[in-house]
Amino acid sequence: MARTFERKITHRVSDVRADPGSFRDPRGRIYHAGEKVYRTVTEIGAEDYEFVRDSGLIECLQDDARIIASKTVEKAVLGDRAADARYVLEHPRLPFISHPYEWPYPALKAAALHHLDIHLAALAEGVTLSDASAYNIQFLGVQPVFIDLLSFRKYRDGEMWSGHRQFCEQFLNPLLLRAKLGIAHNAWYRGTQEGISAGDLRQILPWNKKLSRNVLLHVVAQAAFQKSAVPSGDSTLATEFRFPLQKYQRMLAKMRRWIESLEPADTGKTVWQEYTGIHNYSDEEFTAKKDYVARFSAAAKPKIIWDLGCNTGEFSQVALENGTELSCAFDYDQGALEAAFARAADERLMLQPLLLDAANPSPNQGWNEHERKGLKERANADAVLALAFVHHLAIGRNIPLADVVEWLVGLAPQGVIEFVPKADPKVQELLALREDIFPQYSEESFRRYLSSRASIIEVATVTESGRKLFWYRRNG
Amino acid sequence: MGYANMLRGKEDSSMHRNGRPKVWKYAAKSALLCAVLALAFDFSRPAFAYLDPGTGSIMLQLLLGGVAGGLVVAKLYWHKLKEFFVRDASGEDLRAKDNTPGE
Repeated sequence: MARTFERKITHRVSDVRADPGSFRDPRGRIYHAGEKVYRTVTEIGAEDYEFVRDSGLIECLQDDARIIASKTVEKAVLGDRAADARYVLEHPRLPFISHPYEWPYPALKAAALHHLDIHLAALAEGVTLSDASAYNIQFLGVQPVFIDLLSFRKYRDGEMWSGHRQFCEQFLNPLLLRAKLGIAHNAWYRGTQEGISAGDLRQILPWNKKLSRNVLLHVVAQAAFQKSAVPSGDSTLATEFRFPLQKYQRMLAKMRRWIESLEPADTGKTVWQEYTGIHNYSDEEFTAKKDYVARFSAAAKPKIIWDLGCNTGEFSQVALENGTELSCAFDYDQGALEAAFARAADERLMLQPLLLDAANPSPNQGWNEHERKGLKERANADAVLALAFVHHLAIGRNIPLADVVEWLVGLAPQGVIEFVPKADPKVQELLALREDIFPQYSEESFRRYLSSRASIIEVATVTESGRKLFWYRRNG
Repeated sequence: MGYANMLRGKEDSSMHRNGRPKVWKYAAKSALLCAVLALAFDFSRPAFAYLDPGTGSIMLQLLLGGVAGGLVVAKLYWHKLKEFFVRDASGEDLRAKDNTPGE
C-alpha cells in the first residue's frame, strides 16, 4: 500500500491548486497538481457517484472514449484539499480546453448530439444528467468527449429533464441562430457565456421561422411560459406531476433528430473556404510550402501545434502526417473552419478547428474573471505555424509589426512564420482601398524583430513574389 | 446498450402503443397547439421577479407529458385565460388586481 502511495505522488501537496472554473457543483471539484488532474467527490455527491459507478455506465462510455477516463486514487494526493472528499479520482490531462464560443458550428452541433447520446445511454441504465452545460464537453480533434463525471446521478422515477432549459440555451438556440438566421453563435455566446435564451431568440426570429412544431415548443412556448407569471405556490402542482420515462426519452430522441437535421442557413462559400483552390501562387510554390512544413514537423516533432490562420487545415494536415500529434487550428472564417472540421473528420486527423480573431482573442472571463481562461493562459503549444498570417494583423488590423512578432513568439518556444512582402498581390489587395501607413512593414524590420526574441534556424523563399518562411527558436 | 435502437425504429412504434383512443390523442395535440399558439400571440404579462429560470422549461414538459400534464398547465394558467377574455366593467384589467407585488 505504502509503495503505491509513494509511486503516485509525484508533486508536492502544496502545489495542488483548485481549478478556478470548477466551483458551481458542491458534489466535487477539480484540482491540478503539476501535470495531473484530480476530481474530488464530496459526501454530498458520494451516493450518486457510487450508484453511477456501480451501474457500469461509466466504464461502458469510457471504453469508446465518449467520456473522459478516470481512476480512483489515494486521497493523500491532494493533502488537506481532500478534507471534504469521499473519493479522489484522477483524469488524464486534455491537450487543450476550449470554450463553446470558440467552436465552429459543426463542433457545437457535434457537442450537442454527443450530450444527447450520453444522456440517452445514461437513461437506459437508470442514470440521468443533472445539467446540460456545453462546457462539460471538450474535444480531441473533432471527437467530443464528456468530461464531467459528477453530472451523472441516479434517475428518479417520473422526474423531468432538469437540464432542458440549459440545453436549449447552450446548444439548441446558438445552433438555431445560425440555422434559421445565418448568424454565427460565437460573439453572442462569448458575451453571455451561458448561451442564448429562448426569450432573446424568440424576439429576433421572424414569424415564418416560428412555424415549426419544434421552434414553437422549445423556443416560442418555453419563452412565453417563462415570461408569464405562474403565482408562486401554484407551481408546486408541477412538482407533483410525473413525467413518464418513455416521454422523457422520446423528448431527447426527437431533440436529437431535430438537431441532426439543422444546417447553417448561409450555405454560400465564404472567402477562405475556397482559398486553397484559388491561392494566387502556383502548385510548385504550394508544394514547396508544404515540404517546408513537413520538414519542420519531422524535425521539431511538436506534440501540439497552434496553426494560426489555418484556413481549411491543409498545412496542419501536413504537420500531423509528419510527426505532430495534435493541431489546434485557428481561423476567423467560419467557412474555412467548417471545411477544416470536415477535413479532420474525413481524414481522421487530430485537428481541432477553433475560432480566433487574433486581434481580439478570448479573454479571461466569468466569475472573478477566472472561470473561463483566455487564450494566452491556455498557450501550451510546442510550436506555432503562422503561414500567410502576419500581414492580416500588421496591415489588415493596424497592429505594429513588432507587436505581432512578439505575440507570436510568446505563444510557443518555436515555430514557422511566413513573411509576405508588401509587393505581394495579396498585400496589395489589403492596401488597395487605403493609404499605406505601414513604413515599418518590411522583411528587414521583420527579421530584426524576430532576431531580438529568437534565433532564426532556417529561411526559405517559397514564392516568386518573395514570400519567405522563417523557422525560429525562442531565446531563453 | 440498446439506446441506438431506441433512436431508430422503437421510438416511432411506441407512439401507437400506449392504447389511448385516437380521438384523445388528437384532442391532446390540438390542446397543445392551441396553448402554444395562444402563447405565441403573447397574452402573457412579464413574470414576477425571482421566478425560477427553469419555469418555462417545466411548463413545456408538463405539456409534453400528456393529458395529465396538460391539465396541470390548464389549471395553472386558467385565471390568465379568463383574464384574457373577461374584463370588468371599468375596462380595468383583472390582472392588476390579482398581482400581488413581490418583494
